[in-house]
Amino acid sequence: MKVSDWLRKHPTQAGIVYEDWSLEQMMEKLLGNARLNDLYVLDSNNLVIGHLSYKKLAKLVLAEHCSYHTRSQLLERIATGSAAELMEIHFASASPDEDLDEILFRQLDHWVEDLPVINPKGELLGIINLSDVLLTVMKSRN
Amino acid sequence: MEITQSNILLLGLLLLSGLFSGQLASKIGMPRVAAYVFTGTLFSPELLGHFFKTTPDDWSQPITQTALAIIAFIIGGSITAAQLQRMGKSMIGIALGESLGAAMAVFLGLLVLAPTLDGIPLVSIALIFSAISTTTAPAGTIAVLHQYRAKGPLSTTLLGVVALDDALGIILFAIVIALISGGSIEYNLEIALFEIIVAIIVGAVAGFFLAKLAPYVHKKSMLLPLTLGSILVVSGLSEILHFSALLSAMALGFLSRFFLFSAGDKLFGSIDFLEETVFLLFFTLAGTHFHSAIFLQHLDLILVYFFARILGKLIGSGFGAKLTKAPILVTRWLGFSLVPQAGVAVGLALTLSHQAEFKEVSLVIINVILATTLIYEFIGPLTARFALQKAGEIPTAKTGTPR
Repeated sequence: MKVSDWLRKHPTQAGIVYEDWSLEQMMEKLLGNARLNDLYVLDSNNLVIGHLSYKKLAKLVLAEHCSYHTRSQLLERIATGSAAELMEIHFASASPDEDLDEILFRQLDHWVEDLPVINPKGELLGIINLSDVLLTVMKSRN
Repeated sequence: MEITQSNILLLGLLLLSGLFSGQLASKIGMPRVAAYVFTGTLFSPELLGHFFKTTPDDWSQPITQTALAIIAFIIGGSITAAQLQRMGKSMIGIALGESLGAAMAVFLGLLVLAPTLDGIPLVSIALIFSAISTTTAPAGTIAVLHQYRAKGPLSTTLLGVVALDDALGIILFAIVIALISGGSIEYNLEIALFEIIVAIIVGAVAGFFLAKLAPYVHKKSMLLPLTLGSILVVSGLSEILHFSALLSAMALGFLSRFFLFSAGDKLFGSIDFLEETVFLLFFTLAGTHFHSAIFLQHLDLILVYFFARILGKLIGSGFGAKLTKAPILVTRWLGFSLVPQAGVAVGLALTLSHQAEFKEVSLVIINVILATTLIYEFIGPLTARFALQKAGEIPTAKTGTPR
């Protein structure tokens, strides 16, 4: 099955934010939808430029409860930047014309719950949720 | 039984005994640093070190140099230009004020005391101590803020200041060493300037290449050899071409983070965790340099350094805060929370034992820094709590919120 076919059958909304969003805005977005695991950062042309994990954002919000910080974490705590400064620019993704079997390997290799599907222009088409894939695999086995 | 030239065995024993003594110390509410130093002291030539038939100076040079370069790299890469901008003039002004205040007070204090140390002019020894005095221990400070759940402008400013002043200390130390190495300051000025510029250029170029290579390494676990390799190349080149390894490693960290932008997180995540291990090594290694005779002979030096550094931090931070119009509570009390001095200071002192012109005095410097670090470790948390209480940033038992 092609990734684009999977997306048609399992439409999943991705969490998107813009590069100038603050930490508070990003958390509001993330916590506003229980199904969101990660956020994807878009530029002004609505093209994907980065990825922000739930874990990273949670760590930043709860930084004052940590008894130890690395030096980078210390500076992030007192001078938190916008989405563009916090995002990861190298992250695993899939393209719509790939086979689902191929990208599952990538998903497991990077151990990400959500794999974004991005077309060659850089537009975010949706996400492949690992739980949905697992559910389908288990159903087919039964 | 004699264990001849067992350097690797000694290093392993230092790391293991330091680790477990530190954990034990934490359990009984003692500073871990004290346990590390005490453990190292057990392996000094006066005690167990005697059985190893070796002195730390014989074998520790590459380890100390690399370890300190790693710390300089981490410090350089932890700060971005955008973060500096956001931190605001208060934090930067206070960091500059307290660092230079401590440096000046220690410099003047030592000039007045005029200790006689063989093989090095008084001005040079005062400059070395003054550069080391600028550093503060961020880990201890964060632990105190966490313990008391402190919140407020003083706590926030304090975090910013301790995040910056180690960088200032390393820069100042590198400049001082370049200035006083191998002759008079006037004679060295041009050479020192050249060495500093070369160090920054080499670090910057290496930082650019590191940033360009990093995206090709997909596995997180393989980023460590990439960063370590880059640090070692820069550090090794500094040895051959005679420029500051510290400045170069710091420039490498800063520029690689600059060119990688937000992707730098992943790169530094691979090496950040080494800081604790490096400091454990510094403290235990420094402990092996402990000499009771030197310690007792230079009690006056220890006292002058100890009080002058605190005085300089108090006056300097107040001055910096006033100049940048920081809140009155920050101006008044911040200096008291800047007392702890730890890993970077000890690491800087240790590097001196590997330079021919400072070899004779390095033992004195290491022992003074070690002694004062221990005292600061014990009183630092108390003075920090005092400052936070005075600023009303420790939650009260009744309300659970800062006053």
